[in-house]
Amino acid sequence: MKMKLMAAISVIATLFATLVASSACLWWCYQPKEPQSLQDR
Amino acid sequence: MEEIVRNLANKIGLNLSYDKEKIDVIAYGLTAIVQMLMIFLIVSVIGIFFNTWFESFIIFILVGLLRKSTGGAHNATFMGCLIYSIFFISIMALLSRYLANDCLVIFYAVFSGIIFVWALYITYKKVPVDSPNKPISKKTTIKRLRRNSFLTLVLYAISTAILFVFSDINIRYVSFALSISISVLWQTFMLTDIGDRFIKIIDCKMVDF
Repeated sequence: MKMKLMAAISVIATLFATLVASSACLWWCYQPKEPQSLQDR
Repeated sequence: MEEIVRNLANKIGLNLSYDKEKIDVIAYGLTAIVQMLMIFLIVSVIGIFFNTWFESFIIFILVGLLRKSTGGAHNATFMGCLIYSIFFISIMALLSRYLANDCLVIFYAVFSGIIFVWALYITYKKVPVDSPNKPISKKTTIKRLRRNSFLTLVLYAISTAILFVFSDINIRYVSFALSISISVLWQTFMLTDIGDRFIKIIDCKMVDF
């Protein structure tokens, strides 16, 4: 159950990270360092 | 706060045997989700308390969407952004809600028109405004972000105009239109050098915890 929950969180987080990667910033006013694999400079 | 998110991502990565890059992506996505949820939840509570939930929601969503293509000044820390966002969304929502007046519709419409013209000019001059943590130099990306910024602004301007036109049906439409105009005003300010300095001053006064 715990593993399933972790897998679900990782899928949602990855999906979200991919979605925000194409924009100029994350959301409102904090921008953490973007992972290498998401960079599209 | 970012440390907590990072630890959670590490724990997930360790249990699911992910490499460092995959863990970084999960931490990045989780940071975005936690940031959005926390701002939304706290702003909603304040909004319900002051009867400005709709205005708060409009500002939260519209500034967020516009920033995705324009970029702008950023806080140095997660907590700095959280406090800053909650404070200014609530203030802007209160202004939109309680400045709305059916006698001043023409004045507000002209005021909004000036804001949109200024926003289009600053967008033309500056967008995209990137940050050191996410530099943008690829020409196709810059072109796409600029096009999206203009489209978003035009869409916001049309929505504001429609709300002002139909404001005689419901006075609340004036406060919704003001919310959109103030969102654009605020986000445009964040594209300027003065906005950048303003954020840096706020950062100096805040501590991360």
